[in-house]
Amino acid sequence: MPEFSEELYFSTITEWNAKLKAKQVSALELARAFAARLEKLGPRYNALALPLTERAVKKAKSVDDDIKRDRFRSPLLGIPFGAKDLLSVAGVPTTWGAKPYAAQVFDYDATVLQKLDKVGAVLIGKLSMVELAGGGGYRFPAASLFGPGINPWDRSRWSGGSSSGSGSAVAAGLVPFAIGSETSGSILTPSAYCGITGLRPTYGLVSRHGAMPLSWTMDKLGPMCHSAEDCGLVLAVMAGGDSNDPGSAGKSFYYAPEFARKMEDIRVGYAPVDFAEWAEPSARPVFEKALADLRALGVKVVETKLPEFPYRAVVDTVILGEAGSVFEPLIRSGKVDELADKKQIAGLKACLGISAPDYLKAMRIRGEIKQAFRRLYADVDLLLAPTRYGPATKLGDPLDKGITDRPIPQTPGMNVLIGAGNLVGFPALSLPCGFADKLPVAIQLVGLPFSENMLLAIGKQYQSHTDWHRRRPPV
Amino acid sequence: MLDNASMKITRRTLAISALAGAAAAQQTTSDELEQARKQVELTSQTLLKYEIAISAEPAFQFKA
Repeated sequence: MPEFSEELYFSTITEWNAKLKAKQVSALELARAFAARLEKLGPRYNALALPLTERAVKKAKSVDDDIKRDRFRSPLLGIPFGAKDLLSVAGVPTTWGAKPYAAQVFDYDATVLQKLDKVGAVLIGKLSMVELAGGGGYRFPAASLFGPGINPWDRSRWSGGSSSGSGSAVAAGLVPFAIGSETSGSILTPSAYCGITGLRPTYGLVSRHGAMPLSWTMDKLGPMCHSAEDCGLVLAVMAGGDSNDPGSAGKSFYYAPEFARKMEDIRVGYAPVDFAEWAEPSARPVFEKALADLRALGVKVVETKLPEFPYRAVVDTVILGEAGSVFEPLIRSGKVDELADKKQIAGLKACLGISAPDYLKAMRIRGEIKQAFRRLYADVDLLLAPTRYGPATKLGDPLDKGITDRPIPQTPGMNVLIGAGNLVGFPALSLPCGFADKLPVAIQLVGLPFSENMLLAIGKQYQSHTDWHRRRPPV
Repeated sequence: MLDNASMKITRRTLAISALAGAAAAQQTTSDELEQARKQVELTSQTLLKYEIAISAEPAFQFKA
């Protein structure tokens, strides 16, 4: 077993790649070290769904054969990673975080895992998640086959959901990067709560073949990493057309930060009420500083507001309507009662009561929202808001309690940006920007479809001037 | 790196935090189901209030 210093486990992909190229470390040593760490510390955060050490060792040995011959197919060659347990891996359980599916086994790997395997990335384990990615709506972090996702920064706090294990495993240095999924906030929220960098790609850019469906028109897969640059490197491998995914846009992604627009040419829209009133008081100075830091990069920051729509009603109807169809057999069989969260059980049962006219009305309004967003983006290149308005919630706190300790702001700001951004299928990047109550908080940037390179360029610039993404919890 | 060494938590505190959620979750399923159905109805009413042009088509495409 190689001896790595604690700090080394938090190295970025670029840093590991340099060490592999210089033959300072082998892929086998990396795989063994991270697999051992994931098996040892993963349960501490309820992050580990299934270790895949044997498979990883075999893969790493074949990668080392390539490295010996200086065949570097990708910056991800030899880099260990973890995948949310909603992605199928042939021959081993894929539980979707839910008891009714605890014994489910597929005979093929998800497309993204095939792509990562092809470039030599080494899958070392499957990571925990909220049951059924939260479909139906859940009340408590304990809504998971694996128990509540525990935050490495404070073990009395939630790691966020639904990509809970992906968030905590990257934050605790158990994997250099992880794959998460987002229907409405499941990459951005754990990224923000755990202090890591997460990218929600444009709808259709990454194939979902082999991933649990929750809402066909909203589901996306994306990278969760230590830096914006790492997100770009991973996305470049994950992205691409796939005839097995009906939602595939048929587009590829090439990470090209060197061709980024000048910061001075980028207009970023924000709503002051997000920073002054919606944000939790302890987080406001941190968000204000992040805004000032972005201004200092040269981007033009301008006030804007989201067009008015019944966003929550549209998001809920689309997701619940589609989830009701996906999980109808589970609901009608009664096995839904095996789920851990009572609210979620009820929510899934109630899905079957959503009418076709309501679903179609929501989808018609969704079309108008998309057009209104296009008009909004005629004036700005990106939208900016806190990813979540405060740090991670306590493990025992209900997630649906809302603001109780202060007045609800009179204007909405961008408090629905996660839902709205997912409805229109726009990409988003969550960047850690500081600490409130000794816990990480983050900002999100939302761009036009297929503008990932612009988001990542700003993220990289921001992270070259700050070190929030370099902070690590006491593991 | 951030010094967080003082932020220790005992196993007992952790268990209490986690179980508090689980205990509070033990509401009767029928109450929860009634609430969930009421929420679906409220959402439906919100959509009903939103006027949309008759020409507006749903935001998905059928490809032949």
